[in-house]
Amino acid sequence: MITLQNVNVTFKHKTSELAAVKDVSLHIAKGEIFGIVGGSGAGKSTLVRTLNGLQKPTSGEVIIDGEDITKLKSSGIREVRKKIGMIFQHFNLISRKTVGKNIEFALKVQNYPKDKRDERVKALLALVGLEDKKDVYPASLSGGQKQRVGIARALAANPKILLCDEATSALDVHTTEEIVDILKDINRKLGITIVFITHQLEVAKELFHKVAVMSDGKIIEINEAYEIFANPKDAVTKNLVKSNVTIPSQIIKDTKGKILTLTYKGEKSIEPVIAYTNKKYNVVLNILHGKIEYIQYKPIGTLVVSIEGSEEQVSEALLYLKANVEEIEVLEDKEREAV
Amino acid sequence: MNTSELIEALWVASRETLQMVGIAIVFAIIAGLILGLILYITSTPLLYKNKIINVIAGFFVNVIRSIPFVILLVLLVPVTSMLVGTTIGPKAAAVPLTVASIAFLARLIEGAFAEVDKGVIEASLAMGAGVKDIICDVLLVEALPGIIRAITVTLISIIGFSAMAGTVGGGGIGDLAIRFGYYRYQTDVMFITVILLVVVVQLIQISGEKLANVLTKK
Ligand SMILES: Nc1ncnc2c1ncn2[C@@H]1O[C@H](COP(=O)(O)OP(=O)(O)OP(=O)(O)O)[C@@H](O)[C@H]1O
Ligand SMILES: [Mg+2]
Repeated sequence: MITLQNVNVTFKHKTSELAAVKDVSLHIAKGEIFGIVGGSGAGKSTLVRTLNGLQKPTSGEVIIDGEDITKLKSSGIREVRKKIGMIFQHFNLISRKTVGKNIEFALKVQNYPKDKRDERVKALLALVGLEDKKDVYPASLSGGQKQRVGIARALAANPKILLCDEATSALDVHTTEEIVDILKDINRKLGITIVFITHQLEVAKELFHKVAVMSDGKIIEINEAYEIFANPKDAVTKNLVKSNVTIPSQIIKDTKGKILTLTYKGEKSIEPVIAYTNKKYNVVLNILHGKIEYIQYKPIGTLVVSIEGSEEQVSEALLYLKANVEEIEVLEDKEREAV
Repeated sequence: MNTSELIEALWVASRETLQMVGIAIVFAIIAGLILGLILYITSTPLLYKNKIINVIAGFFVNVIRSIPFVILLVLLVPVTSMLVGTTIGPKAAAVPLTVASIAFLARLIEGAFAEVDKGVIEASLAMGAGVKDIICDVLLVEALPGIIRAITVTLISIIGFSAMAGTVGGGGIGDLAIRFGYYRYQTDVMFITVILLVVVVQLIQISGEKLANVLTKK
C-alpha cells in the first residue's frame, strides 16, 4: 500500500540546513495500523506529511498504491490526496461552518454529486455517532466530538489510507479511548490502512499492529507492536517503551538488597521462576510491584522485586533469572540514593 | 442662514458625502479584497508563495499608504479628470478616496486572512482542495468577521478623508463645516456637523463590531 524508498527531507534555512527525515525506507501493508513514535522533533510529522504530498521529499520515492507521488504534478497530487484522509491533533475544522457543512466541503472538493451530498453527510455522521450534531458549529462540541467530525470528514472520500498526526494527544484518557475504538472499528470494517503518530504509549499499545521508532530523522527500529514493547532492541526504544513503574521512594529506601525490574512474556507464568530462585540459590525475592499488559492481545509482564542474600548467591540467582525472563534491570545504588 | 436653509444645506452635504464615501467603499471592498488576497496568498508557503508578486503588490500598497491624503488628492487630479471628466463634485472626489482606501483596506484584509488558522488550510489541502476551494470555502468564510472589522475601520477613515476631499471641490459635510463654520464664523453649523459625524462614526463602529461578533463562531 505504502512504500518509502530512501526518503530524505531537508529544510534549508538562510544559514543552515536541517535534515528532518534521513534516508527512511519502509513498507506499510494494506489494512495495517502502522504507528510512528519518537521524541519531539524526531521528524514524525514531516515523514507522514510526505505520504500525501504536503511535504515534498528532498530525495527518495514515496509509492502509494504503486504510484510514485513525488513525480506527480500538483493536479495529480490533489487526486492522490482525495484518496488519503488525514486527521489532526487540533481537529482543524472550519469554525464558521456547521458540522454538516464541514463534511460537505470535503465532498465538494472531490466533486461528489450535489444532490447526494446531504445523504452522504448523514451517513458519515452516523458512522461516528454524531447524527444529531449536523447543524451545530464546532465551537459547541467537545474535543472528542470535534475529532469524530474530523474522522467523518476524512472518510468522506472513501479513502484507502488514513493519516493521523497526534489525533488523540489533545484529548483526555477516556475520550482517547473512544477515538481509538472508532479507529479500530474503521480499520476492521472498512479495511482502511492507518498511519498514526503518537507519543501516548497507551494508544500505541492498544492500537498499533506495527511500530516504527524515529529518532533524529531516522527510523531506528521497526517491528511488530508486541515485539517493540516486549523486546526493544535499540537504547532509544528501550528508553521510550520502558514500563515506568514507580515505587514510592520511602519503600525503595526501606528495602534491603538490590531492586530488580523483570520483564517477561506473560504467556509463561513467572511464579515458578521466583519460587525456584528462592529455593535453589537460597536468596529472598520480595515482590514489590507487578502488572501484566496486553499488546495486540498478547501479554507482557513486569515485576519489580528486591533480592536479598549473600553476594555470591545473588549474582548466581541473577544469572538464572536473566536466562528465564526477557529483560532484567537492576536499580543501581546511586539511582536509589537519588530518589 | 436660518434653520430651514441649514437643514437644506445639511441634507445636500450629507448626500454628497454619502455618494463619495459610498463609491469609494464599494470599489475599495472589491479591489481591497483582491489585493489583500494576493498579498496573503503570495506570502503563504502552503498556498502560492511568490516573492516577486508579493513584493510588487506590497510596494504599490506601501507607496499609496505613505503619501499623505492631501497630496494624493492633488497627484491624482489628472487621473480623476480622465476618469470622471471633471475634478469637482463628489464623484471626482471619490477617485482619490477610492485609491487611498484600497491600499488601506488591502493591508487590513491581508491581516484578516493571516489570522485564519493555518491548520484548517492544511486540512483542506490534505483533502485535495485547490487554491480556489480554499479561497471560497476557507479564507473568505473564516476571515469574514475580520474582513467586516477591516471594512468598518476603512469606512470610518474614508469619512474622515472625505472632509479633506470636500474642501478641494468635492462638497459634502466636511466642506459645509469649513465653509460656514470656519470661513463665516457660524460655529453652530460647525457644531452640528461635528455632532452628526460623531454619531455616524459611532453607529458604524458599533454595528460593524456587532456584526463581526455575531459572525464569529468560536
Ligand atoms: N516547514 C518547516 N521548515 C523548517 N523546519 C521544519 C519545518 N517543519 C519541521 N521542521 C523541523 O524539522 C524537524 C522535525 O519536525 P517534525 O514536526 O517532523 O517533528 P515531530 O517528530 O513531528 O515532532 P513533534 O512530536 O514535536 O510533533 C524539527 O526540527 C522541526 O523544527
Ligand atoms: Mg509532529
